[in-house]
Parts: sequence; structure tokens; C-alpha cells
Amino acid sequence: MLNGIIRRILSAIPTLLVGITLCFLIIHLAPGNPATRFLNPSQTAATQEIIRERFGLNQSLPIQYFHWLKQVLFHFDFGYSFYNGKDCTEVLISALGPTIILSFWALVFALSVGISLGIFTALRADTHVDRVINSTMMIFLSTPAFWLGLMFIGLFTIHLNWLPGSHLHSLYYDQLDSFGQLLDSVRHLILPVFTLGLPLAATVFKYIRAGMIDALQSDYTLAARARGIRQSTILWKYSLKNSLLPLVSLLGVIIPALLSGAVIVEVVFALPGVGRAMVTAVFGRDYPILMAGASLAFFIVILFNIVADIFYRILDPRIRNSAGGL
Amino acid sequence: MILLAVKNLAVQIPQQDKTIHLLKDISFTLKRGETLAIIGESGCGKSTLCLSILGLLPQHFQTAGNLTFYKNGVEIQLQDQTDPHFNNIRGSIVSMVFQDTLGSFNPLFRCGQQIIDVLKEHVSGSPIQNKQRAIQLIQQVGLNDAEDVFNKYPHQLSGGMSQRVALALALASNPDLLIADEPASSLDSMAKNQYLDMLRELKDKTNLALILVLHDLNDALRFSDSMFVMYNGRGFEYRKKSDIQKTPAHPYTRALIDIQNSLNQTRLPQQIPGEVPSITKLIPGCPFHPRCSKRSDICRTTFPPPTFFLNNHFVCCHHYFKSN
Ligand code: SF4
Repeated sequence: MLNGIIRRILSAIPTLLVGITLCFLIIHLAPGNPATRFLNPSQTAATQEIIRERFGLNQSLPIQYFHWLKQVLFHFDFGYSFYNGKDCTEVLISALGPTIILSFWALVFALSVGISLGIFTALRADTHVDRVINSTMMIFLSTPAFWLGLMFIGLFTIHLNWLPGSHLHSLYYDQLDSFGQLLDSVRHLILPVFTLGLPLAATVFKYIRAGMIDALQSDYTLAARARGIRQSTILWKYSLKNSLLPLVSLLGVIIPALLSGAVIVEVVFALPGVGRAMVTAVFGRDYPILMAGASLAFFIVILFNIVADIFYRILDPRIRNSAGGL
Repeated sequence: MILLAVKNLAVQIPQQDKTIHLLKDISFTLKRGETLAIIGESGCGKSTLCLSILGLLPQHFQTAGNLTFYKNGVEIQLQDQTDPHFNNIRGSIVSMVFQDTLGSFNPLFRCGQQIIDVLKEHVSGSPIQNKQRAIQLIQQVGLNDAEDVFNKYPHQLSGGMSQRVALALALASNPDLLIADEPASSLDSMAKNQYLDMLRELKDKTNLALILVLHDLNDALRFSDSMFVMYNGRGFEYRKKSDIQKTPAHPYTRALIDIQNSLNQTRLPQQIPGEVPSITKLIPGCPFHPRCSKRSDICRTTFPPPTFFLNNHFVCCHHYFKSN
């Protein structure tokens, strides 16, 4: 098992490298030039050239790439932002806080709502309640996050004025007592978490409902009932474990979805997270920040894929024991 | 002592334009320690009958008739499939081994754990006692390395082992009646005979009643006390095995036995001419008449009422073979 895990991790390294390389190329091949953002009418071509030289952009692409890679691999140095000269690692770390908080609560929301509604409807499959919940969830599944976010802001912030629609805190945050601060943060988080979490909840719901219905109609459930196993054991022990299994492998899909969703939600709700930092960097052609962000995203996606794999193998004995498994 | 009486059991699926009759007018009684073989070609309703005894038919199935279990002088009557009394019956009075034994295990739990779950439900004991009892059960069904089997996952079991572990699971609740749907049908004939022999020994030791659903008439003749021959959702003949062996009364039973004899003499396998009718098709009169060599005009129009013998045994045929 341990061998398998190590093998799995080693095999992830080429994937990571290929991904980052592609990303580097795409970013550099995109039209536009970071030096142009410092353009003003009095600038001469020579000044431009100096800027390009300072950023190392006058060198050939392979040299730029290997220089960047060397710095990252041997010094864990992602370079400095073209825009404000800050250390990229620091920029990302400070932006990571809001993104993690947002993603974490969105995940908690998605799992709790998705799993409980999935079980609830699986037990009432093909009734009216099931149909209503199922179609509602399918609507959320197919709604783009930016649209959902805008609708929420329109309804709850502008129209009803119940919840704030941007930023992490209010302006007067510092003057509040600690309970007030907590309340303020929670109020600011509700709409972004819903926007990010609802489509995910719908995905989780879909899998759990299908898995649960499958499990409840399976031969082993029938056999367990024939042996007189009570309904609650069948439900909470046997069927739940079987229906949670696909969810574990889904983890490798959920995390990337969360990350890409977070980008949009952070922009819509003006949250100072990684997503927004990346979007700003894209518009400013801030290559070092972009590459640092992309590497981080690649790393997280691959990491969670490995984690999902390992969990899946721990939970499912059929894979754990099969030859060629982990 | 009677354990189970099935009276006029009928199962149907109501549909918009018609009703599909899966079982019609099934009646038999089963004593403690008795082995009843249910015989019939596939699709005749054998499995439906088994599931209805456990109250496990799908919800949209309708049932009529009576099931009565007798235990410790108490009579438990069950009217329909949703009867809550079935919860007290499943496991503790009647348990079942399914045809697809591997599919009847939960793939994510160890065999031992699944046996312990049954024990927890029906027998009160400490965790250590339960484990001991589970290992005992595994030994009882003829598996030597019981501790090893206890820790195995279902997919690690061989075909023969899974048959036996499934039996251990069904017996864990200490039932009075065990239903086995096509027991060991996936095994070769030697392994199958060993399995059935073991089942008979177990039965003799514990006074367990057995319902064996079989399609091999030889097995039925070897292992049963009485036989219930089914066709198209109906009981055609229900008699003692020895009587049927001597003089099969129903033309269908007779045809089955003839085929078996021809097989035993390694002649070319024969078939009853004609097709097994689909259960969804309504056949007027006796459902066997398109294939029957003894049919007369009345067979085409009127279903033969049962002719009763001793012990509620019967045959349904206008022109049945009378024993001399
Ligand atoms: S009732 Fe008629 S058709 Fe049916 S089995 Fe008897 S003889 Fe044959």
C-alpha cells in the first residue's frame, strides 16, 4: 500500500511539470507585453527596452523558462510582481486566507446540503418532494456562478438590503467588539459561500441520491433485509458507505471546481483572494504572479487527486486488494 | 408440527391496461424439519414465491391470500407484504440464501462483520461471544480456516466459499425455516452435492425446515420430502416426494421426470415440446394445454380445480394419472 502511494506521488511529478510548462508557454504566447503597462507618451523606445531587460523579457523563451524553473525548484523563489515589486510567494500567501475560508465553508455547505438532501430524496424516490428537490438542484447545477452571484447581490443586497454583497468586512469592522466582528464576517461570507457552494451541493446531491438509490435497490440490501437486518442499519451503515464511495473519487473533481469557482466568486464579491489576485495579474500581464498562482493551482488539484485516490483505496477493499491497485 | 401454512397466495402487478398475475392460488404447508422442493422452469414464479414468504416483494406488487407462521404455540398471520409483522419474522423465523450469493454480500464489509451484524440483530451477546459464534457458524458450514474467512472481504471468496458463507449468514439468526434459491447452482455437480449433503446434515441436526428452489429434478428427488411443481405462476402438483417418484400425477411432472430419465441414461437431452409461456400472457383454461399430450377440449377452456389428497396435497389436472 505504502509503495503504491509513493508510486502514485512520483507519477504525479511529470504531470505537474508538463502542466506548469504548458501554462508558462500559454501565458507568454498570449498577446501583450508587461512593459506596455508602464507606457506613457514621454517614454522612448530605449526606456521600454530597459524595462524589458529588467524583467528579463528580452531573453529567449526557453532561457526565461529554465531560469524561472531553476529559481522555483532550487530556491523556492517565484520572483517578484512586475506590478508592485512584491514577493510573489508573499502576495499569494496573503491572498490565500480569504480563498481558503471561502472554499472551506462552501465545501462544508455543499457536502452537508448535498448529502442530506441526497439521502432524503433517495428515500422518497419518485415522489413529488423528490421531483421538486431534484429539479431545483439540477437548476443550480447548470447555473453559472457569476450569474448566481449577481442575482444574489441583486436580490439580497440591493433589493432587500439584508446582506452585504462585497468585501470581507464592513468599513467600521475595527470599531466592533469581537462578537460584532464575527457576525460581520459571517454576514459578508453568506452570499459568496452560497454562490460557490450551491452548484457544488447540486453535484454532491446528484451523486449521493443516485448512489443511495442504487444501494437501496441492490441485491445485498434485499439479502440484508432477508436476514432481518433492521432498516436503520441498512440505511446508515450499509447503503451510506456504498453511496459515499463515488463522492470520494469526486473529491478530485470538486477541488478544482472550487478553485475555478472561487476565482469568479471573488471577482463578483470583491474578495481579496487568490482568484482575484490572478485576474488582476492576467489583465496586467504580471507573469510572475500568474505563474506562481498557476503552479499553486496545479499543485492543489494534483494533491487532491492523490488524496482522493488513497481514500478510495482505503474505503473500497475491492480496489485495495486488486493486483495493480495502490 | 406445522411451521408455515400458505393459503391461496396470489401476487399481481396492476398496470394501467391490465394486471399481470405472477402467482395464482398457491397453497402448501410446511412442517418443522421438512424439506420442500419447489420445481419449475425459469419464469414460473419460484423466486416471487420465495420473496413473498419473506415479505420482500417490491411495493407496487399486490398480494392476496394468507401466510401463517406457527412458533412456540403462537400463530402469526401475515396479510400483505407491508405487514409490520414481517420485521419480526425475517431472520428470526425465516431466512434466505439467494441464488447470486456473491451479490448478496455487501462488498465493503468483511464477511465476519456481516455475520456479526446479523447476530447483533437477533442474538444478544457480547462482542467476543458474537465473534466466537460467527467463527463457529463458518466452521459449521464446512469451512476449515474459519478465522481467515472471517477476515475476508466477499470478493476474496471463491464460488464454493461464497455459497457457504452466505449460508452461514442466513443461519446466523437461527431461523426455523431456510429458503434456498437454486442452492449451489453455480458449482459443479460434485461440489453441489457436497453442499446439499451438508445442508441436509445441518437440517437434521437442528430440525430446520427447508424450502429448496431447484430446477434439477434429480436434486429434488434426492433431497426433498415433498415437492411443489409450479407452472406459469400456479401450483400444478403438490405431493410427497415418494409418491411423485412412484406415480407422477400431473402430465407436466411426468414430462419433467421423463426428460430427467432420458438425461440419466445419457440419451440425447429432450425437451417438452412447445415454449414456456410468458407469465405476462393470459392463457385460457389449463396453462399447460398447448404443450400437453393428454389435453382434451375442456382443458382449453377451464382451469382444472385441484383434486385434494391427504395433508392438503393436490394435483390440478382434468385427466391426471391415478396411482393404482
Ligand atoms: S388439464 Fe388438460 S392440458 Fe392441463 S395438464 Fe391436465 S390434461 Fe394436460
